Amino acid sequence: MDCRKAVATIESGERTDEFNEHLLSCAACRNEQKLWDLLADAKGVETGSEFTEKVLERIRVEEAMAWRHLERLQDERFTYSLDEFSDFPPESFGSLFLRGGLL
Amino acid sequence: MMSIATEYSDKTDDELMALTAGRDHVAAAVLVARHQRSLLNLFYRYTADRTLSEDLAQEVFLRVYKSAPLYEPRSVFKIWLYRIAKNICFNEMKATRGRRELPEEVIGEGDPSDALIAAEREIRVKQAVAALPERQKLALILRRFHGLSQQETAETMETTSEAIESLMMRAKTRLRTMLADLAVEQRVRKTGRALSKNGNDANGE
Repeated sequence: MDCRKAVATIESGERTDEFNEHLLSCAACRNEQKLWDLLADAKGVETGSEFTEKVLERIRVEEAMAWRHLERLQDERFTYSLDEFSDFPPESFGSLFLRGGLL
Repeated sequence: MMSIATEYSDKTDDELMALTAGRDHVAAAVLVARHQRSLLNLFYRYTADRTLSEDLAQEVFLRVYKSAPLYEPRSVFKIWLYRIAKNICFNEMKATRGRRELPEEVIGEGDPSDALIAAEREIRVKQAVAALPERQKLALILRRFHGLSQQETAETMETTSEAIESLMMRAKTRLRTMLADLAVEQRVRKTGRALSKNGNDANGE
C-alpha cells in the first residue's frame, strides 16, 4: 500500500491488514493517524427540542410576514385600480361603473 | 404532535420535503429534529461560536422550508442540505471577514490536572480548526466529523475529488504546525504514565 492510499484509508476510517502493515513501517502515515485521532478533541455540541421550536417559530413569523405583505399588495392594487377609473369620460363604462350604473 | 411526529419518523427526507412543500409544519419539525445536531456541529466547528452556529443552522432550515415547493430529489438530501450550509458558511465569512474574533473559552478553575489538560487541548484543537482557511476548513470538517466521502465532499463543495484531496492535505499541514506541541505533549504524558506504571510495578504497588 502506498502513502496516498494509506491516507485515504485513515480518512475513511476503514482498517485493513494491508493498512496496518503499512503503518508499522511508515512514520509519516503514523503521524497522519495521530493527527486524525487528535482532531477528535474538537468535540461537538448537544441539541434539544428547544432548537426545533425556535426554527418553527421563525417559520411561523416569516409566513405571517409574507401573508401581510401579500394583503398589502392586494390593497394597493385595488386602490390603484379605482384611481385609474377616475379619469374616464362621462359616457364610458368606467364612469358608469363608478356611478353604480352597471350594477 | 408527538404521536404524529412518531408517525412521520419512518418517512424519508424526500417524503418529508414533499409534505413540507404543502406547508406541513410537523413534517418540517421532523426534518429539523433529524438534521439539527449535524448542522449545528458543522457550524460550531466552523465558527467555534455556539450562538452564531445556532443562528446559521436556523437560517439553513428556513431556506430548506422556503425551497421545499421547488425541491426535486435529484441527489442525496444530505448533500443538498450541506450545500446550503456551505453557502451560508461562505457568505457569513465574507460578511465578517477580518472583524470576527474567536470567542474566548474559559476553563473552570480548580479542575483536576488531567481534566484541565484535556479541556485546554479541546480548546486548542477547536480553535486550530476554526482558524483554517475557509475551504480547507469546510473540507476537513465534512470529511473528519460528518463521514462524507471524498466524492460526497466534492459534490457538496461543487468541486472535484482531486481538489478536495488537495484541500485536505493543506489543511492537515497547517494543523500539524499549529498543534505540533500538543502531539509532543501527548507523547510525553503517555511515556510518563508508562514509566510511572513500571516504577510502581517494580515496587510491588
